Amino acid sequence: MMALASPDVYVVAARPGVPTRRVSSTHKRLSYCSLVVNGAGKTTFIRIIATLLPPTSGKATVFGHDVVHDKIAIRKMLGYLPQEYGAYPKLTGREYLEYIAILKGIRRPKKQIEALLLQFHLTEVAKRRVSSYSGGMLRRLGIAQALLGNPKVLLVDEPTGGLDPEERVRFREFLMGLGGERIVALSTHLVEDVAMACDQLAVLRQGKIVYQGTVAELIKCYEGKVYEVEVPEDTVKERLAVWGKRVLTTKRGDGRRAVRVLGEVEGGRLVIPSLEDAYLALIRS
Amino acid sequence: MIRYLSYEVRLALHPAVWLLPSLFAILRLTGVIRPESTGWLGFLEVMFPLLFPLLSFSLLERERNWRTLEVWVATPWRKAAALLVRYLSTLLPLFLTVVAAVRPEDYLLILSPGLLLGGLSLLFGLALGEEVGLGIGLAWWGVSFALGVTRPQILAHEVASWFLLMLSNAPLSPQQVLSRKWMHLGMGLLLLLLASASADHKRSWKPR
Repeated sequence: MMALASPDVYVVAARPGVPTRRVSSTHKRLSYCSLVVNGAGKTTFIRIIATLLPPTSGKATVFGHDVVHDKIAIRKMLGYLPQEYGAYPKLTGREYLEYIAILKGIRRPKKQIEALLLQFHLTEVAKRRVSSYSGGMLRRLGIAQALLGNPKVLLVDEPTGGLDPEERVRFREFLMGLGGERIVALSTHLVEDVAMACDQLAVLRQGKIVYQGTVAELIKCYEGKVYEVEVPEDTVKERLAVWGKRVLTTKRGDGRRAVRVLGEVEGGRLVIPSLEDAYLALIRS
Repeated sequence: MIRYLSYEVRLALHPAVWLLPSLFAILRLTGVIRPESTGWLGFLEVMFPLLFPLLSFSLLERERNWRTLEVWVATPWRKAAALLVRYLSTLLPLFLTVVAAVRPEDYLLILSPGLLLGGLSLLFGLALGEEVGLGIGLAWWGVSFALGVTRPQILAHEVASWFLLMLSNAPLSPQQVLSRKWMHLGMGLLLLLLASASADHKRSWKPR
């Protein structure tokens, strides 16, 4: 059973050969993140909610509507930015939004379109053809079209993939502002996206949810367990081999490497874990 | 509605396609084309239907390249209609070409096999992939053409003649030719409706 509705979220990763799982959470602020190991089923999860893919087993619902039998009702409340997003290159940004608004059956959409162009900093390029847009502009146009009609559920699949750092930061800021009024389901494999944009998160691994809760709670799970040790460059290889899977992250310095390790190590000092540390510790445990 | 249709026509057509009906109109006005000529009609009946599966293929190929199909999921009911309108928009220059090239009584002779092949390519293109759709359309055309050339007597066969596309030189009465052409047209429209239903169920393109 998977249900997406406020305030409860149930998630199941339904893929051929992957057993059905059931998880629930009670998040208060209507934003939701799934942080997923590559190939674990994050796009499958988003596509099931988007009614693009039926669950191989079990049942999935959005606000009480079944994703298999009640697709139209779900689509009426849906905004969707797929991972592989494309827009009609012949149209200008404004025309594209108008075209999508017509397809969505929105009457007199001009005011809404102008507001979205303004919100996503696209007003200046609204008269340009979509074919001339950069990757970041195209993503912003994608989220604008998803928000047309003010959907109750916004599905965003890997929104920052392929963007340069500046655009990535800007896009995360946009995403942060979208929660509160609606459910935002964001799927990503980038820890920074989650750290900046989400309060609640689920971590999927091989179709199974291995953690569900707040970002702060996940970090708290590993407080007092992450140590950092400075290792000379010439001994890094052998030390890493000794610590094995306990190694979380490494960072280059002046001839030395700062290595974060799960569990106590000789010469190590206790540090406050980052979300990345906690995520990696969870995945490797 | 007009605004929406203008978008679909823009998305469906490259401005260069209007050259085809314009060229045929010029040829007819200058007397180079004689619409009543049986040789001209036979030529068009053979060659013109080829354009329809090619157009279906190009329509689907562009949709794949633009990667817009998944976005349509948030536009309930309208995906099938949008694809139908867009396909009919791609046919607009072809209709005008026929109008420019032949007499009104011969429209059916030229258009019906094309609509049949176009609908077939669109349906199978959506269901099984654009290449498969194009292949099936071209295969039907190829078999019809080959049999018409090498075994013309088969055109007189009661059952086979319903499935063969080029009938202008067949040993059939005008009424028999007409009934088969109407059947091709009906089949073409039926396949188009099935294709639009299939479009509503299609959620993404299979990776190549």
